[in-house]
Amino acid sequence: MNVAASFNKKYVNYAIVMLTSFCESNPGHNDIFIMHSELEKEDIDKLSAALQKYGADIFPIDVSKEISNLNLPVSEDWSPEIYYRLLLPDKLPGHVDRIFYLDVDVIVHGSLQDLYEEDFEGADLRACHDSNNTSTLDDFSDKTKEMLLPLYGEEFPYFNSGVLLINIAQMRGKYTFQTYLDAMEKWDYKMDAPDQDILNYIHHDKVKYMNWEEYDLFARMAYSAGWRYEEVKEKNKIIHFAGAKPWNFDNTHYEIERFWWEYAALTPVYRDLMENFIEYALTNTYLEDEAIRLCNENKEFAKAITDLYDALSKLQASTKGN
Amino acid sequence: MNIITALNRKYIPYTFTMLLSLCINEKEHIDAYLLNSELTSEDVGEIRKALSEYDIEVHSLTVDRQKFSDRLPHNSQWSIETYYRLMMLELLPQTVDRALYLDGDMVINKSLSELYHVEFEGAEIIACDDKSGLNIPDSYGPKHNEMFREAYAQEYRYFNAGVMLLNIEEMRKKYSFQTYLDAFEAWNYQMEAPDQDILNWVHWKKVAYVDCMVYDLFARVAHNAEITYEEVKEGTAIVHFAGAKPWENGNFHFDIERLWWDYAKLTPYYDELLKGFVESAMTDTTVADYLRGLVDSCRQQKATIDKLMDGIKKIAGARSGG
Repeated sequence: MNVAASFNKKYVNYAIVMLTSFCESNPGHNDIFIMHSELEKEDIDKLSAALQKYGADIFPIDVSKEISNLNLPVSEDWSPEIYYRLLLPDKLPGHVDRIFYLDVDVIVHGSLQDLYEEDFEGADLRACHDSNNTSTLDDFSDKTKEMLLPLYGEEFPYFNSGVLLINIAQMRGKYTFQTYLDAMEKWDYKMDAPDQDILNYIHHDKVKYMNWEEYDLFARMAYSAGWRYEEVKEKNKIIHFAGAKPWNFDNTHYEIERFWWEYAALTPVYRDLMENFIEYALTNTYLEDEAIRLCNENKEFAKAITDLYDALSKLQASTKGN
Repeated sequence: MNIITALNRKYIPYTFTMLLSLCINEKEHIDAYLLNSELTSEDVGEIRKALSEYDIEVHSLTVDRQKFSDRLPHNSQWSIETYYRLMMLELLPQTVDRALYLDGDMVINKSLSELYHVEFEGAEIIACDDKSGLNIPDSYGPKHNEMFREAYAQEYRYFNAGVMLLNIEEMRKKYSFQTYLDAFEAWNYQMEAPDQDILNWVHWKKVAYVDCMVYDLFARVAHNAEITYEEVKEGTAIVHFAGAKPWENGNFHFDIERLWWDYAKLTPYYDELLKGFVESAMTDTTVADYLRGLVDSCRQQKATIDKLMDGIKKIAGARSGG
């Protein structure tokens, strides 16, 4: 199978975990295409060494030239690498007719072979409803609604761009990077989820949906909705750690992150990952700050309640007096 | 230097970390007495082997578990081994005239030679103020205050039993394990802090003190006082991880815990400790539950405020209307 991913130097270890999960769950030959603009030989070597036992071939695709003069919107949450998937039809070699694109924060724990071979039935790509299909129109910005409501209607089947099966044979030549750049121009670059908004915009009527429970389960949302490890194991093949990651301390942790650590344990970077995890635990003050903030808020509310009771009883007393 | 500590099998990696940190910082010969009832000869052999490059002799002292009533308060935080120190007078060789008792949840960051050779000047125990000095009687429960009414009337300073320099020679003349058993009976097993209450109660007239900021710094108390890793590293001999542990996820983490990991990294148990930390992060819901509780409480108080505001508006409205 063909699979593509896009990441920078900081994400090499996490990419190793994701690609290990893919190879481990999909034995047989896999070609892995890495879209990047800063990886060096040592990074690629590290990746190759980690995946060597699976016999995967790794093809780095440097897109630094294509993106060098573009002023694409980036933020703390969105690195430039999120755009590189938009270059797949341009940059993949001619023999590639279909390919998975997977975000680095997913874990593949089931075979994707059947899905891979399914007929596209004319679709450009296959994707899943975003955020476990829980989004309502209120969750989208005015700009997104302005651009996508005319295309999607009230039903709004907005898809997630973290797990895609792309019909490269059909898209090659028809959609170029320029197609997407022109679309961004039409959006005044006011995308909330840059690449995802644009992919929804361009391919809105050419998507064959996959079951999100099976192929793009958002882990934390699933956990909050009551999913547990066994159920995930049974019903799901690709779990997506959107938002706070299993490997850092931007939030609390939960049992279905075990999927991530189980594959992390199979990689040569396991100890590094655990040590970094502890480093994050020791240095990230988010959780403690959040607790302090909430405690203070509770104290202020408690005081406000006392004051309001006073005001109310005074008011009641004076009303009776009248 | 005679060191006493007590442990069960589960605690081996933590107690070992403490012992290793002691060895690294100590020039004197160490005799370490491990009070236990479940360590195998392999366990003890492994500990000895891992410390073989240091000037330490490890002695396993077997404690008869049956001598400790199940009526003794114990839970996941206080194992029955917590009480084993109360049998030291019986178990230590007659040649031991003084000994330093150390809990397993600490790191020793400097030589303890100076502390160890302090003159007793009539004291039976030399220890530190509990909770690094936050040991005002009001911070303990009613039973505690009942136990120490007479002592507190004489400005008694309740000590922490995690670090105790013991005048074994003197204590042997006056006390035995039975002394402490009688004390449990006298208090009908109703202690709030198991062995510590009993040790304070039996010895309160014969306690001398050393600086708790140097010899028994409670890491979390220090963190809350905004003391940093660097300051602890520089000025503290014994850092005590009382309460939630650096190797678990029952509370927020903070920089001072790095000191524990610095030493843990040098033990043969490091990988096991790393894995235990990850496992605990995924399964211990204490922090998540605590944060959720705070969020719920904010929401409820906010609703109360809204209701009170409505009440006030209604009365004020009726009045202006009338």
